[in-house]
Amino acid sequence: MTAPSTSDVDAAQGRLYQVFAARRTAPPTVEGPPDVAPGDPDDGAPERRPWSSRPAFHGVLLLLALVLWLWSLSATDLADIGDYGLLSALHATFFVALGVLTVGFLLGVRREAPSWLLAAYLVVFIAIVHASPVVLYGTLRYAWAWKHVGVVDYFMRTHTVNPHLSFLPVYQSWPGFFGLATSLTEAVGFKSALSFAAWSPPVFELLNVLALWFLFGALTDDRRVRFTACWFFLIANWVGQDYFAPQAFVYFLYLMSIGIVLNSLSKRPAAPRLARKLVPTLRSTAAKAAPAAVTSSTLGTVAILAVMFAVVATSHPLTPIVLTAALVGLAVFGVLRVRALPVIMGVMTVGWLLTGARTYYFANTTSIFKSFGSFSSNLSSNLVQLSHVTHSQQVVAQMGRLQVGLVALLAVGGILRRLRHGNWDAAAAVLLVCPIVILVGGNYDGEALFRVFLFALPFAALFTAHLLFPSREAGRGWITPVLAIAMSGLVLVGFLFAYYGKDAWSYFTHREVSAAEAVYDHAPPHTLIVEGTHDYPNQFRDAERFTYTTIENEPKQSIDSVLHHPVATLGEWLADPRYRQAYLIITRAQKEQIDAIGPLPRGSLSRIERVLLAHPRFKVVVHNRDAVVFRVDRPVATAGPKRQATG
Amino acid sequence: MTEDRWVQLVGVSSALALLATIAATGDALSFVPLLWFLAVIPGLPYVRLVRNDHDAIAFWLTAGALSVAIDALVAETLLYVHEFSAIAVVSALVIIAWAGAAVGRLRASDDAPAPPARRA
Repeated sequence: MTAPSTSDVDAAQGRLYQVFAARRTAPPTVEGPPDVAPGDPDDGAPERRPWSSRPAFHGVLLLLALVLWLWSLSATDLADIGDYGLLSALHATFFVALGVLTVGFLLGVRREAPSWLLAAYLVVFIAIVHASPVVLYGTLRYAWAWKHVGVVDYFMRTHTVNPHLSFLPVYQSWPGFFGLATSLTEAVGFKSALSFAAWSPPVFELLNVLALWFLFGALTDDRRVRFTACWFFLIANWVGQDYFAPQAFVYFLYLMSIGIVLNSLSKRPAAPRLARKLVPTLRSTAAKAAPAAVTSSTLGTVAILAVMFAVVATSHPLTPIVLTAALVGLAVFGVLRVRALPVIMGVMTVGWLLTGARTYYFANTTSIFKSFGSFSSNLSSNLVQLSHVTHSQQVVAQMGRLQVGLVALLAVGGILRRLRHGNWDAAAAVLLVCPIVILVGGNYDGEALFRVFLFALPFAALFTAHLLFPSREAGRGWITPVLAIAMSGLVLVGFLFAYYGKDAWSYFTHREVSAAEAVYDHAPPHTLIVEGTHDYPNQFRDAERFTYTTIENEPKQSIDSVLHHPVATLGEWLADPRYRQAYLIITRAQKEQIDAIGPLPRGSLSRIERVLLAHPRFKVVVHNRDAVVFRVDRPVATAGPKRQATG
Repeated sequence: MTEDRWVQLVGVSSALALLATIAATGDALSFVPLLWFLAVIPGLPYVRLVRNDHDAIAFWLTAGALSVAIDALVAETLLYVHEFSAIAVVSALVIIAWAGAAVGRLRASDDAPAPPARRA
C-alpha cells in the first residue's frame, strides 16, 4: 500500500472538518443533539440527582439481582425439570432477580443513569438467563450442539473438508465456523470443542448486544432508545439460535456488517413523495446528511465488509440470502451510499453456491427448490400442530406465538408513533421487513419462521423502544417507565416459557452423557446406532464412522412394527449382519420429547425399554437412571453398511 | 496509544499465541492468549488503517468482527487445500497481522512531520 499523498490527506482533513463543522452548526435533527442529554449524569453536571439515577441505587439493585440469582442456582433442583422445562425447576428467587433487573434497568433508562450502569444491567441479564443453564446443567444443552461438536471432531481428525461425506454434509460445504472452532480447539490442546461449547449462548448474546449497540448508534442519537432496544432484543430473543452453531456466529457478523454499513456507508433519505402526501408529518422531512463519517476510507471500509461478507457466504447457507436482501432493500430505499455492496454480497453468495458448495447444492437442488415460493405452506409448516402435543407444550408454543405477536404489535406502534413525530426510519423499516425473503425461499426444516423472527427482532426491538421514546423530548414522564415495565413483563413471561419450556429434552444429564460416551468410545467403525429420537448427546465423536437409525423418523410401517413387536423388530435390526456392531440407546430426554410432542405415542419408549429389559435376547451394555443401551448377540459382520445414515 | 505501542501489542500477542499453540497445554494457559489473539489481533491493524473515530466500543468491536472473519477464512482455506493444522492457521494469522501492522507503521512514519533540521 502506498502512503497517501498530501492532497489525499488534505481532502480527508477537509471532509473531517466538514463533518465536525456540520455537527456544530446543524440545527437539532429529528433525534436532537447527539448522545448526551441535558442533565445526563455522564457530563458530571447535576449535583442533586433523583434517587433512581444514582449509581449507588443501581449498584444495590444489581447486587441484589446477583445475590438472588446465585441463591436461585443453589436452590434449584434439576430433578424438578418437567412439563415446562427448566421453568418448572427454577427457584422463585430467579424470577425475583429478573424482576429487580427489569425495574432497575427501565428506571435507569428513564433517568438516564450512567451508561456503564445500564450496560451492567444488560450483562447481568445475559448472565442470569443464558449462563444459568450452563452452570446448572454442567453438560452441553441442545442435541444439535453435540452434532456440531462432532463436526469439529471430524475436522480435527481429518484436517480437510469432504463434500461427499454423508454425515451432516451441509457443514462440509459451509465450513467457516467449524474451521475457526477447530483452530481454537486444536491450538489450545483441547480434546474436543466440548471444553468450551456450552458457554456459547452467553458469549454470543453478549457479542450480539455489543453489535446492536453499535448498529443502533447509526439509527438514533437517543441513548435511551439504544439501551431500551438492546433490552427488548434480549428479553424477546427466545428462538435459541445462540448455541454452538454456525448460525450464531454469522448472525453476529450479520449485525456487524449492517452496523458498519449504516454507520459508515449510508445516508438518511427523505421520505418518498407518496409517503409525504399520505403522512402530513413527513412533509417537512428532507434528506438528512449521512451519519458522522467514522472512517477515513470508503474503499477500506468496503474491503473490511468484503471479508465479513465472504465469511458469511461460506459459513451458513441462509444468512447470506438475508444479508443480500437487506443490502438490496437499503439500496432501493436510498440508504446506501455504496450501491455496489449488494452486488458484492450477491456475487459471493451465488459464487460460493456454484463453487465451494456445489456438491451439496446440486445434490439437493430438488429439495431446496421444492418449497421455493410456497410462502403460505412454508409459513404453516413451521408451526407446531398443537393438537398432537401435551397441554403444557401447547402453553409453551402459544406463549412463544403470543410473544412474537406482542413484539410485532409494539413495533408497529413504534413505527406509527415515529411517523407522527415526522420521522422516516427507512433503514430500520427495511431491515425489519427484509427477513421475510426466508419464507419465500423454503421452510428450512421447519425453522424458517424462527429465523425470520430472529433477523427482524433487532429492528422490532428498536421500534418498540421508539414507541416509548419517539423523540428526545418525549418519554420523560413517569408513565413511560411504568409502561416499559408492563411491556417488558409481558414480553419476558413469553420469553421464559418459550426459551426454557423445552428443556426437558434440550438438557442432558451426566448419566445420559456417560451412556452416550460409552457407545461412542467402544463402538467399532461400521456400527449401527438405533435411537428413539435425535434428542440425546449424539454424533459428537467419530460420527461419520457409524450409521444411525432413528425410530421416530422411520416409515410408518417400521414404527408400527417396533411398537407392536419391539423384541422381534429391534432384535432383527440389532442383529443385522451388515454391521460390525449395533446398539440401541434410549434416554430420558428422548422419552421426554416423545411424551411431550410425539410423534410416537406417549410412553412408547418407556414401554419398549421395559419389554427389552425383561427379554433375555437383549444384553444391557449401560443402564443407569437416565439411559439404557442394548445390544444383541449377533453374527460376524460380512460387509460394510448399506442402511443409509439418517443423521 | 502511539503507533509503536500498537505494533508492540500485535507483536507480543502474536508471540504469545504462537507459544501457546506450540505448548497446547489444554488449559487456561493456552486458552487465554489464543482467544485474545484470535478474537482481536488479525483484524486490529486493518481496522486502525480505516477507522478514525474515538468510539472505543465500535473500534474494538469492528476489530473483533474482522478478526474472527479473517480467522474463519484462513482456517477454511487451509481445510480446502489440505494444509490445515493449528500451527499453520496461527502462523498465517500472525503473518496477516504483522503485514497490517507494518503498513500502519509505514503510514504513520510517512504522515509524521519532517524533523526540524530537514525543514530548514
